[in-house]
Amino acid sequence: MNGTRERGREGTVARASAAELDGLLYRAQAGILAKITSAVDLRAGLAAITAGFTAGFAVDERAAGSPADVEGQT
Amino acid sequence: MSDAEFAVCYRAEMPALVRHVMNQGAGEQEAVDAAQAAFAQAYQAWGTIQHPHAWLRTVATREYLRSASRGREVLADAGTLDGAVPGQVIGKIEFAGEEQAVLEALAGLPRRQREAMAWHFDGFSPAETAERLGTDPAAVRQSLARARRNLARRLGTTGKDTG
Repeated sequence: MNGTRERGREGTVARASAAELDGLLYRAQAGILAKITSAVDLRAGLAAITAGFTAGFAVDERAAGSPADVEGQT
Repeated sequence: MSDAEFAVCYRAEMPALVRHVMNQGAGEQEAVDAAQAAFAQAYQAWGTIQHPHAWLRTVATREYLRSASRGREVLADAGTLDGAVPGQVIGKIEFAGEEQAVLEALAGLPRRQREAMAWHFDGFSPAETAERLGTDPAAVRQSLARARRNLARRLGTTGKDTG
């Protein structure tokens, strides 16, 4: 009986600890995302891409594998 | 898909993509550069990409790993690299205690564990992650379990893994 009770207590402690870890991880992830969102200039980033800061990618893609290769991997 | 759809995707996904790369150990500028490079490649292949959410993460991670292997001093001059696109960070991002602690703890994990956690945080199941990483779901679950044990130790929670 004592062994069963002990295992039950360990299980409760483990669940509490897992919940504590999850809470910490997800709070931090939400905070990180919020700060990135406010720090990155999305308008400038998008404009840079559509305005043609992409010269050289054809060469680069061949070196790294084509997008089709990546799609194939995924 | 159209430019308008690309723009919607960029605005919605760029911050999360930067976080995904940071969760794998990149600094903020490295992560922005890698994410921006992935989007630049996506723009050229936009009509052919079936799963942008996963595609962007795969390509951004590859860009980060490639630039990390080239060295940080080269990345600092990313505007002149073949194929690189200048990043768009405004100043230094100041992360709070928990945020910084989690990023540092993630950066200290072995690569497979970091990858598994990064995909997990972005909502991918072990099976989906395994497909992206070219491994099997059991290996991803094992990496997640080990990562959680390591993170609990590094972050000072007493956690035993429950699953």
